[in-house]
Amino acid sequence: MSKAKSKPKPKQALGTPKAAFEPRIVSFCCHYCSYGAADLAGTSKMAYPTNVEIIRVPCSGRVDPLHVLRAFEEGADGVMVTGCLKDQCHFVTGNIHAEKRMQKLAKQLDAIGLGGRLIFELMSAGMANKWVETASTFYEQILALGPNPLKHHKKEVKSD
Amino acid sequence: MTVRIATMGMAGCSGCHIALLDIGVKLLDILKDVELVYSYPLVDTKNPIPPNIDVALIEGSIRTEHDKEMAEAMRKQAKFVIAFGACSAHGGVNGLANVFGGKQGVEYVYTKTILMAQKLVPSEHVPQILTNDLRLSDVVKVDFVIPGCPPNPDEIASILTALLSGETPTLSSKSICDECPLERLTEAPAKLRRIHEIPEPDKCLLSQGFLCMGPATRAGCNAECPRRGMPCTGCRGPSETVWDQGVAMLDALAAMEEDEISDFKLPRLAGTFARYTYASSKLDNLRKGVQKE
Repeated sequence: MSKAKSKPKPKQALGTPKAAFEPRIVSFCCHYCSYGAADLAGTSKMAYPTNVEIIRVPCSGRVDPLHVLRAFEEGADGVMVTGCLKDQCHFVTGNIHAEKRMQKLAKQLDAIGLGGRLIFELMSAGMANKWVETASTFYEQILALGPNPLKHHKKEVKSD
Repeated sequence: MTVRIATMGMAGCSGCHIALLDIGVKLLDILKDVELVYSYPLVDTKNPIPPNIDVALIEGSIRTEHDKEMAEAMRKQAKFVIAFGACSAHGGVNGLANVFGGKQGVEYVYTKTILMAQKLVPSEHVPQILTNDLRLSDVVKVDFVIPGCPPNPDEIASILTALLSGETPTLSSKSICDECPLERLTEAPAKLRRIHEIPEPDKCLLSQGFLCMGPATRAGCNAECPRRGMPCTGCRGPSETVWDQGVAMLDALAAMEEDEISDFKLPRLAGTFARYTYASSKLDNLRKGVQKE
């Protein structure tokens, strides 16, 4: 709730000139660590790209590869999955399972032509620095990759 | 009142038609109330499709312009269209051609392989091949799906009987594991095993490391394969709660200790986890979108 109230942020957080292409990045954050890190980054007034849209999940292990595919299908340019540090998962092994899943999924995404658009990072609730760094570098990476090729065809792709 | 039934075959092996005959004695009961007005193994398919068809069973996936045209023509005449078998329902084994990338794959087969003497994609006198394998519901509206490769004769019989008596047929919403008699073990598989390493009888095949697609596959076949020690290959498509069979299995097996699935490239992943459903899977949907660019 407090997050929602303290939401207003400068539109161009990094002070970069407005690019023609503004990526949409979906970030799955686990409730116990990386969401805390993002929250801390917000309350400590650290700047990171506003293009990162956060979806809070109970644990990074909750993120099904299907959620990621669905995000791409709906036109996301990049997807971040972030969880707790190794051995610090609230649910013991959720982050380890999530990492294995995302590695495997990333490999298949490379094969179908969406390589480099999915990253997995681990951070604790205190690592606001790492959150900002991850979000900023991923933003740059997606800017370099360009828009999601599916975006223009969104309507033609059947959502089953 | 007789019910007018038509059957049609697209890109498939006519195995589903054989399964229809395989119903056996019950077929005689069904045929009492049925007039078979069009069937491609029986009639000259150049004949026009007769009008006022009550139920149309369409087998096979849509691979050529001709298939597409025939499916649309049949849809116009038929009141109730059934996608008959795995190819028609989910794209089938034919759909694995999509792994090699639509147009590129077609060109490769016709111009690079040694058996093709002319080295060009045929365009005259034959129907144009589509770049991607499609399931029936990508082309026309489908009223009901009978999954399976081939479909289970008992299930076909029960569905046809239900339709003839005016009821709405249903498919099982459970997964193969719910019907499987093998003993479930709690531990995850330690490593992957191939089928020639004979499984222990009466124990869950997946827990023993054989890639059994049971958890993600729709029930209704009475778990015929796992019951006999053969891992399920997933021919009945995703179960009710699973959106995408291949990705669901990848998700489920991702936490294995010995991590062989990491080495799976797309062809192997599709061939193992989405053998019958790749053409309608999320991964292939994304690939189609990306390659249109």
